[in-house]
Amino acid sequence: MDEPTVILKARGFIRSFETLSFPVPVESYVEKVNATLRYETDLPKGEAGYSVPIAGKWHIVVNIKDHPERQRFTICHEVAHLHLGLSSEHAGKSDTQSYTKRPQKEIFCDVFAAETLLPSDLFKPLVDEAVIGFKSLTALAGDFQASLTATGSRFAALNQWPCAFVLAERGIIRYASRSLSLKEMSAWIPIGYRVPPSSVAAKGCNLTEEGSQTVDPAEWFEDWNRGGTLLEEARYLTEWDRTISLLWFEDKEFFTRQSEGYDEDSDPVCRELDGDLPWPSKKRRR
Amino acid sequence: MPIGFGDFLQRLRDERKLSFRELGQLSEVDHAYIHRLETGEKEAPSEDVVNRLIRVLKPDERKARILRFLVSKTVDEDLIAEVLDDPRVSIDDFESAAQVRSRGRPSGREGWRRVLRQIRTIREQLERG
Repeated sequence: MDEPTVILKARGFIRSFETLSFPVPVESYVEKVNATLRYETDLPKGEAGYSVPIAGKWHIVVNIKDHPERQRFTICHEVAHLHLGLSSEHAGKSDTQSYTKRPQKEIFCDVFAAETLLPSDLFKPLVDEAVIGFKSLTALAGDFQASLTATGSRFAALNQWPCAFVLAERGIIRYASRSLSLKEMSAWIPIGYRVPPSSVAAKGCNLTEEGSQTVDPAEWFEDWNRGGTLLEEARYLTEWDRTISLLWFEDKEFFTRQSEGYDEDSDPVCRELDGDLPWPSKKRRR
Repeated sequence: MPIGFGDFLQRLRDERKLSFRELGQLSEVDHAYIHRLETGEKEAPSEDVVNRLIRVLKPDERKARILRFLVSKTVDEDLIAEVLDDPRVSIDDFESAAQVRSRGRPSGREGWRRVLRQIRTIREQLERG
């Protein structure tokens, strides 16, 4: 099994529901895999939930002390275990809270969970219309009853705009999700390194809920020499000692021009005629 | 750390103080095959082989069921230790716990104790209807 297969299986799973609207009915997902759902008060923090076969039926047990959004992701994650037929890997230390050393099967279940909690068909049209920033992210997370982290990851991955979502734990980059256009420009965010010192994320626990700031793309992206105006907005998640950042280039056309070989430096006054009017501006507001 | 069939077989053979050769002769199973089972070089022995080994090793019913269960699965050593130390834990509950798929798995014996407790509660609720 690989990630594209998991995504296809998740989409097939979603298609098996005749109608689906957001927030998606995760309880129906549980019924679909012929399991029951139980909320447990006795699970410690960090143990989000599990599924267990008892008397011939699977039971999904969820930590009731978690935030409702996390509970919904956990349910989708457990549904993934059952639908994909993936067992858990019990070797090594417990690692649910950490993005490091996550077993491949658990990653597959997370991918499935994200795909079913924030289905592309429902989520992407809203992403396409959204102004990039945490205001949109928070609204979408509320609409889909998903965490900011899950929503941010999908928001970047499905975005047409060159943007990325980055998660850092204790200042170290653990996870990054990039839009297709950013991938095509080889904007690589190195995992396992400290967030750039001049980034918004570097403020860590001192972060306030302020708007976006201009940051140096060469600090965020490995071997970056293409220039561009990069904006960053970040939030600090106290509970997990994490920062989540949204990064996006101010000018979407900047990339189009570069990839088409247009060199603005050689002709700073007159842009090559292409039939497209330069107004209204395609710049995203800060 | 996960325990497989070979690890548990070795434990039972040690308890009986039998060498590979002795166990092989008594069970009429090739001693080299037994060695390979214990090292994990060979896996998933047939039911017939398992029966012959159990007949010689004479584990109690709980351990025999655990050995049979391990033919197709590996189990966290803390869970096995908990089940072997606490005779109140049913093997049905052990088998359920061993198949737990978790987002944030139980860690340590206390973690498994809690899972076993939860499984027992669910089972009792199901039995009560």
